[in-house]
Order: sequence, then structure tokens, then C-alpha cells
Amino acid sequence: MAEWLASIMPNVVDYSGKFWSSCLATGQMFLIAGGFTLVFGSIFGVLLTVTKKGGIMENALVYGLVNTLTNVFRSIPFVILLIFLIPLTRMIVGTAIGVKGAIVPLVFGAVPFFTRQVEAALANVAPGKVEAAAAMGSGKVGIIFRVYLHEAVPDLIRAVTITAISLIGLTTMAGAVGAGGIGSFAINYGQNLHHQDIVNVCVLVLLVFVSLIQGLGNSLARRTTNRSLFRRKAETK
Amino acid sequence: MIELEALNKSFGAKDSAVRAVDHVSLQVNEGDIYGIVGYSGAGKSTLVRCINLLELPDSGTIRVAGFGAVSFENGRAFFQNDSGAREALTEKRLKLLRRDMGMIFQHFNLLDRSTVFDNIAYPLKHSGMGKAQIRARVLELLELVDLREKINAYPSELSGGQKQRVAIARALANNPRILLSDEATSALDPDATESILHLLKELNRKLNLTIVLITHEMAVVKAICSKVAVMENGRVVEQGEVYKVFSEPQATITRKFVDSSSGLGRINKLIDEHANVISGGGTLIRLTYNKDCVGDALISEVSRRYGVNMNILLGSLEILQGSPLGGLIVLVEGEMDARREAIRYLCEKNVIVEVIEHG
Repeated sequence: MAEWLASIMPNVVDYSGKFWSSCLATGQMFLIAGGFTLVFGSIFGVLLTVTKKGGIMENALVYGLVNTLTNVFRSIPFVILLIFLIPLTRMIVGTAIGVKGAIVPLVFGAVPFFTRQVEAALANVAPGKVEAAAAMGSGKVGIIFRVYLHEAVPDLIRAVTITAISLIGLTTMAGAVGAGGIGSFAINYGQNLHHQDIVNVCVLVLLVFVSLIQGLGNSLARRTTNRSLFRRKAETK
Repeated sequence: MIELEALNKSFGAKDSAVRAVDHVSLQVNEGDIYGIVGYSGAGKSTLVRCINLLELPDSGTIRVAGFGAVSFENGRAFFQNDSGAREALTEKRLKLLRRDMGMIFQHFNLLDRSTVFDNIAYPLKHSGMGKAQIRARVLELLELVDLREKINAYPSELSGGQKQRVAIARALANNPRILLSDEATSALDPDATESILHLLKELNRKLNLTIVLITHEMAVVKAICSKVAVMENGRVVEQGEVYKVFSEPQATITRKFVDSSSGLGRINKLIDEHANVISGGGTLIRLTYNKDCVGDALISEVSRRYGVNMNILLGSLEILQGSPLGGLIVLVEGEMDARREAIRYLCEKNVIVEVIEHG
């Protein structure tokens, strides 16, 4: 097995230590930045939904602020954002390189994207459902969690899937400017040292990872459309 | 039970504002099934949403028995309880008012990702009830709307009529005394419409539930309402007992509604299309019989007594609130004087006569 691997991708085997640590770094960036993105993007997406004109907590100031910030950061290409944020990153985490240094720009890059996705998902919740909940005496928090977020689950899962895949893309880009991970492994060891097998394996790893996320997302979205993931039976004696 | 006084609600900028509700006052008594009819855009949806304050009126007062009064001045809301103390309307008070009024909608508005059980339990959760209590209440409600076997179904597995039953059960979960119905049968087929109307009537009787029902179909009003208000351009143009409004409609729009539901309106269409209904001469009249004279054989009596031919073109008879109401479109042929005498005689007999066209 080892011999066979060494024969088809000799350089990957030679640099296997570096390869695994790169995969690990990418995984770390993905999970940590993804976690922050999930939290902040959800909050901002909900904020946009409830504060917009006609929303349940209409507030032009909050809406205008979140909306403008989202637009600004969405319109900056990520490679530029990476270098633009270096001073801020240093201030927040003390360094602008390595996994730690990559988290800040990754979050800034992914949050606006996810925010818009969440906003779109919540916009798909029929206004009548919100109205019905209000008519039943449900409060604002109740409406956000029990109507908006609850009914939008399949769309939110699709949003998470798309954002996760785009975040993987961002982590490899961050790798190009010193963040480590599969992106930098492919460039520094594959491209720069002319080891095509390393580039190929990096592509393969990313392909498998993206496919897994997409497959999982599709399946979960399908299983939550017009039903909850697990059908809870109210016992009928 | 509910008293609306001088309600106003406008939408849009000041100079181009649309008056959706224009100085509306009406009173709904306990146990009434109160219909509000009008074409789309007449303001009836906005009006019904003003009752449970989903829309906040610009001015006016809403009184709900046992709750108090909410009045609006310059866009501010005040609450006044029965003892007269006045304060700003709080969010908490608003929720209490809404829990005392159930509401059902044209498109049901159920949560698609929740089972029937969870949909009905929605307003019960976080209300201090225990799990066992909630389950008992949901089962009771399912029994009430006759949908026990669908407890674990999702809305996508139900028919329109069943969805509306779930919505009704959900609206009644907190034992409200008032049910607001916003075109609740407009998206249903005729069978489901009938069964939902039947259910509403039964709930009205069983629970002494006061129902305010808005619709654009006069047939719905005819089927279950005891009182009706007709709306046009944000104003209530006519209101009263259903029988009275149907037998003696005053406003033009009310006539149109009444005609469309009885089928007698077709005569206007015939005349508009210049069908030769009175080509041979004669007077085209419309007779409306109320409960006092439906039983009399007036047509043949008039015909014999004055020597005129009474040619019946269209006729309808319906039972409204247990009383018959009849309508006929008749072509009276004969001498001019005889025709006049015949019509005068009919008027004397309490038949409402309208001359549609002289030939």
C-alpha cells in the first residue's frame, strides 16, 4: 500500500507530515471561522429581517447600519480584504499570520455573505405565518425563534451549505498570504517546487470535502422540508 | 361585545394617503356572527385587523367587553379599563387582548414544519401550562374540530378544509370569546366551505363564541351570519340584520351583492346586452317578497283581478335565518292603466316593487 502510494504521488508521501498538518490547519480555520460566521451571520440576518420596513421591530437606523456594512464588506474582493484587515487582525489576535491570523479576515469575508443568505431564507417565510403568531399573542422573540427560524430551517441549511463551501474557498485564498493550510501547501510545495502530484492531491481533498458538505446539506434540507427532522409523535392513548 | 367607534386608518404618505378604514363605527353583540362584506380593497381586512390591533388605527376607539377600551389619538394608543383609569397601551396588555381573540385566515397560516399537535399547541406553550395539560387541551380541541386522527400529520398531508380546521382549533386554544375570520373559506372548494361554515355555526352555538367574519361572498353571509355590514372605499355603507339587509337593500353596492347571490342580477346583464326581454311591450318589474307575504298567491291574484299577463322571467326563493325571502323578475303585459293598478296593488300587499324598465 505504502509503496503503491509512493509510486503514484511520491512528493505527497515525502511531505506527508506537512500535508497532514496543512489539512488540520484548513480544518481549524474552517471550523473556527465557520462557527463565528454562523453566529454573527444569523444575528445580522435576523436583524435585517425584523428591522426592515414592515418588519416586526421596524428600525430604519439599525437596518441601515447593518445593511450598509454588509454591502461594503461584500463588495471588497477577499484578497484585498485580507491585506486591508491586517492592522485590525494584529489588534484583535496579536498576529496576522498562521491559522490565528486568518480567522479575522475569514469571518469578515464570510459573515456578509451568510447574512444575505439568512436574510433571503427568512424572507421566504410567509408573512401570514408571522401575522398569525402575532394574532395569537406571540411576542417578538417568540416570532423570531418559533416562526422565522423554525419555518426557514430547510432554506437555512442550504444557506449554511453554500456558505461553508465558499468558506473553504476563502481559507485556501488566505493560505496564499501566509495563513497555512491546504492552499499554502498547494502553492508552496506543489506549484513552487514543481510537484504536480501535490497540487492534484490538494484538489482531490478539497473536491471530496466540498462534495460531502453539499451532499449532507442537500439531504438535511430535503428531510426538513414541510416536516421536522424527527417526527415527534404525541402519544395518543 | 365589541364596539368600534369612529375608527380611521390610512396608508401611505399624507398627501397621497389611502383611507383604508374611514370613520367606521359598529357594534357586535355577544353571540353574533357578524359578517363584513365588500369587494377586495374595500378595507374589510384592515378593519378586522384593527380589532385585534394587528393594524393600529390612526384614531378611534375599540371597546371589548371584559377587557376595556383602547383609543388612538395622533398615532398614540391608550388603554382604559372599566373603572376608567387611563394609561399608555403596553405590549403586555396588547398580548392579553390578542389572546382573548382567535383569528383564522384565508391561507390558514399553519407552521408547515410542525405537526397538527404542535401547531395547536403553539399558543399554549410558554403560557404556564404543563405538558400533560397542553396535551389534554389539544386533544379536546381536536375533538371539537373532529380531526383527532390527524394529530401527528403535517399540514402538507392535509386537505384545505382540514388545514382550516387545525387553524380553528389553534385559534380557540386559549378559550377566546371572539373569533375573527379573514376570508376563511375563500380558498376552499364548495364542500369544504360548507363544512367549515357549519363548524363555525356550531362553535358559535356551543361555545357562545362571537364571530366577526369578513368575506367577499354574500353566500357566506347568507349561510351563517346574523348581522352584516357592507363596506365600500373604507366606509360602512349599510349594516343591520341579515334578513333586513337582504330584503330591503339600500345602497347600490348592497343591491349588487344581494343580486349576485340570488341570481336575479342576471336580468341587468340581459338588459345590458339588449336581449329582447320586453320587445312585445310591457313593464319589467322586480318583486321582493319578505316573510309576511311569501305564502300568498299574489301573481295569479293580480293577473285575474286586473286582467294583465304576469310573465315570470326569473325567480328565487331562499331561507335566511329561518325566514323565507323571495324575489321575482316579472314582465307585466296589458293596458297601461291596468299595469299601474296591478303594481299599486302589489305595493299594498307589502311586496317591494321596483320598475326596471317600461316598454
